[in-house]
Amino acid sequence: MTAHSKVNKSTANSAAGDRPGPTIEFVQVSVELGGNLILEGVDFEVVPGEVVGLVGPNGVGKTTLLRLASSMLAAKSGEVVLGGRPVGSMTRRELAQQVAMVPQDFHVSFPFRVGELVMMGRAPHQPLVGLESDRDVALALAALERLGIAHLADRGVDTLSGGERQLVLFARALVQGPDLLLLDEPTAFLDLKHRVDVLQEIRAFARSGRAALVVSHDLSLAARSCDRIVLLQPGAEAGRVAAVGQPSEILTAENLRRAFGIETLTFSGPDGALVVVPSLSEFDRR
Amino acid sequence: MIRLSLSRMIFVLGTLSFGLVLICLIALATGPSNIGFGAVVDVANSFLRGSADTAAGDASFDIVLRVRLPRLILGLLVGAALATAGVIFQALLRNPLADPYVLGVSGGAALAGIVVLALGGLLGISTSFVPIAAFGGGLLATALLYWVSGGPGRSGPTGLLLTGVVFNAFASAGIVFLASIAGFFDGSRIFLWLIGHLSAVEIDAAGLVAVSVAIGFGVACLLSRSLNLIALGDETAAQLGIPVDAHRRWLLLSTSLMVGAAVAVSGLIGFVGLIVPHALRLVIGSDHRLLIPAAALSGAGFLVLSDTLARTILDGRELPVGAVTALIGGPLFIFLLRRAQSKGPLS
Amino acid sequence: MIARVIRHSKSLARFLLAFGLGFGVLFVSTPQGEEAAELLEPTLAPGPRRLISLNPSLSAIVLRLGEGQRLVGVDDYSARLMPELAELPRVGGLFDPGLESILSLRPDRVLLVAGLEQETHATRLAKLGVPVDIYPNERLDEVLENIQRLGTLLGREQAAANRIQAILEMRRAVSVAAKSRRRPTSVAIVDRSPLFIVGSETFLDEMLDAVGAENLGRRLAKGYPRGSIEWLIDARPERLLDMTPGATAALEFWSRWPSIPAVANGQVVDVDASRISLPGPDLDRALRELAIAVHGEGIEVDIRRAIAERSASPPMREDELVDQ
Repeated sequence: MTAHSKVNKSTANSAAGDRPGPTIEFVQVSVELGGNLILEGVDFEVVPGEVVGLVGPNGVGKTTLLRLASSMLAAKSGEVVLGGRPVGSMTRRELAQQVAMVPQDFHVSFPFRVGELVMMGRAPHQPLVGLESDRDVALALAALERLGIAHLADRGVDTLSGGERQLVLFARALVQGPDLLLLDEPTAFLDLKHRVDVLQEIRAFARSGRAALVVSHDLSLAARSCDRIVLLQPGAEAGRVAAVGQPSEILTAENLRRAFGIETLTFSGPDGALVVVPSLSEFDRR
Repeated sequence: MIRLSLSRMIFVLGTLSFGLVLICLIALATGPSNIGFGAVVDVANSFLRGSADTAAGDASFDIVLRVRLPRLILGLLVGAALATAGVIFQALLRNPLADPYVLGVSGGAALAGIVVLALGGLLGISTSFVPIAAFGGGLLATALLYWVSGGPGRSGPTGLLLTGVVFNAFASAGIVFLASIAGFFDGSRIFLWLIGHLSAVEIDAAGLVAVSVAIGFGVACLLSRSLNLIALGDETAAQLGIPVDAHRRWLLLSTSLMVGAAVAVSGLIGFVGLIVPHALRLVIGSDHRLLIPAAALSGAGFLVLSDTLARTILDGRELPVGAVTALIGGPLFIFLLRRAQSKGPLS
Repeated sequence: MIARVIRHSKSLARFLLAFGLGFGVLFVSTPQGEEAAELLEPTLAPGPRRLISLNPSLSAIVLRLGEGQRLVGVDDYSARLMPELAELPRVGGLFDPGLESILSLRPDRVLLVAGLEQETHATRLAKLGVPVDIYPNERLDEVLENIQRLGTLLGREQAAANRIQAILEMRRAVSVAAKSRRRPTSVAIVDRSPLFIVGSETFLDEMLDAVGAENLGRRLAKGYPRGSIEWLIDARPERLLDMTPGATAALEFWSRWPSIPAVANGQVVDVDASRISLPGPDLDRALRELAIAVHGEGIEVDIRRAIAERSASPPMREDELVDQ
């Protein structure tokens, strides 16, 4: 099956000439959950090499979109295409070899150790039964080193702080060796330095010919770390894509007013990157 | 040390196997009759030389080979089944307090077994169907548990346990009721069935039990890596490439098979699946590739040791082994429940 | 139907014995010989007229004394076991007699045996103003005393005395017949699986002693202890008296442990519990059949001879009888 998918992918690539096809495409996707329309007509793509930021107000369906991309739920209509193949036609294992998800947080009922948890990222590449190969171990150690949590390897995951847990999840996703990283607010619990570290890792990951889709509420940080921004906003019934493009094109006061319903100041910082902050009038008004 | 190395597996399982062999020797060498270790060695010697039949008149032969050995084998099988089932339930339900007895799965198996025992005569069903019925009963109870709890992790540890407690009460009442209406008012036998024992002399079903436990254990070993991931959450496991539904179905089937087989021959022995995995996790960690075989070995050893205690503590008389495991497991369960509650639901 | 009744009785016995109450197994009381005539005599005797018996052994004694017509209600087991009582109103089981159904029958005496549960009921009934008699029946002497007490209560002193004498006479006769024989070590099995055996301080132990069997079970515990197979093998009994209800082929079952002397010598005996272990009015028959089980058919001649010798000699004084 894996070989088949490779073939499929290369045909898709050659059809588009030398330029590689999109890593993931959302084609007019609508999602319904428990009778409620959550997303409607979502349509965009993420191409190799880029980091796409997914922003929008709470409850607009950002996490739903990530779950859709990892085939945790099925679209009501439309299609999600991964490397040229609809996700619905792929086995869990094939999917897991190509897509890694970094959830916001996790609970454990059993005190697995950090090293064990990170190593589980190798699961889609391992046979059903067996022990880790030397390569598996090397990859896991490398990821732990890169994120500066090698010293935690023997700790029980139940003893970690929220930020440490986030780094562990990120490390596991890197170990998974995917073409596409899906990250749900990967920096929410991190301090400023670690935010930069993680975003830097995401960029480095994308620069090696792969891609990342990052949900973020920190618009300034998103503006600095993402190549493109997808702004979701509540539609008449469900969330839809309001705009897709360069951060400076999307994160305008006008767009943000429509999406979030508040006034913002957006300006270029001394380093030339976009800064987004709520306007003072928003504080006075309440 | 982030990998499960072969040498670690060999060390842990080797140590446990060594301990199990010691326990087996102790179990074979102790009993209400003091025939002495020397006699046991003699019996073993002539048994291995194939001359067991020539010493038919020797009481130590009967005692070692025809009383202690069958009982030892039964204890090994039932203990391994219950401990392995405990580990699987804990991982699938993501609840360290899960145990086939506490969850009412054993109760369901026992109820179905009694249906065949009590009514089988009227309906013309052979008692050799008891293990099969017990398997079906365990499966139904498991399904009920899933249905009531709305899936793993949704109702918190106590909600799930409450379901089990209620179902156990129902099963016990059903057992007594069926026994009464069928004119099978057989108090001592029902009492033993409810408390759990290894003293069944007619273990014609031993072969069936051995096969059931072997199948269940085999499936658990094959899917032990999946168990690691499912223990983290269904969604996480799926995102890491595990066909969660299919694997869970196989695991539940094999667990019900093991529990049904164990209950059919020994009744409701409680808490083995709670005590053994809990103690093991403290020592060897949570990796199911190691935990599953370790639990089988330790469960077998624990139950044989408990039974050795049960049959020697009162001189010449017997205590049901279920009483021993419950006396150890009950307080531990309360302690764990208290700790789980103070940590909040499923944290 | 009879088989079913007996099966019930056997199961009941196991239940009782398991809880160490030691009532023994029930059987259907069938008066025989000249004593059956007593049944036909009209009742003019004094005493309570509306009896309720809550225990099969007591029901059996009342019936055997020819006063069955005084019973207005019985427990489920008495009714199941004794066809004569099948039509009577039932007031529940041994452990759960219905107070309400008892009261509605307006009894002037309720008979029950000693034992924890039953005494609780006795207390409750007494509080409600119902006269209650309690009869302990674990030992042989107690059973004889029960026969005597019920005889007095029902104005059937002579019939009771005859019954007691018959039992004592049989005890003497089997002891005399057994005296010339070796006392085989024995284990009496109430149930095979789980294993329950006859222990000390029970009427069955006393009867085993009387018929010249060395009851190894008395070393284990009093009452009806749950024994281990290993203990049994280690005790090396020369006789196995298997009273397991409903089960047959005792020798086949016990043959899996060929080292047991009783097995090796073919001395495993299927004993019909329904004829042996009700602590009721027919313990003379029980003694005779137990003696045969232990010593074989050959002892029957000696028992008859012992009885005949006594009948030929001058009658005994009353106190001599009691001394025995």
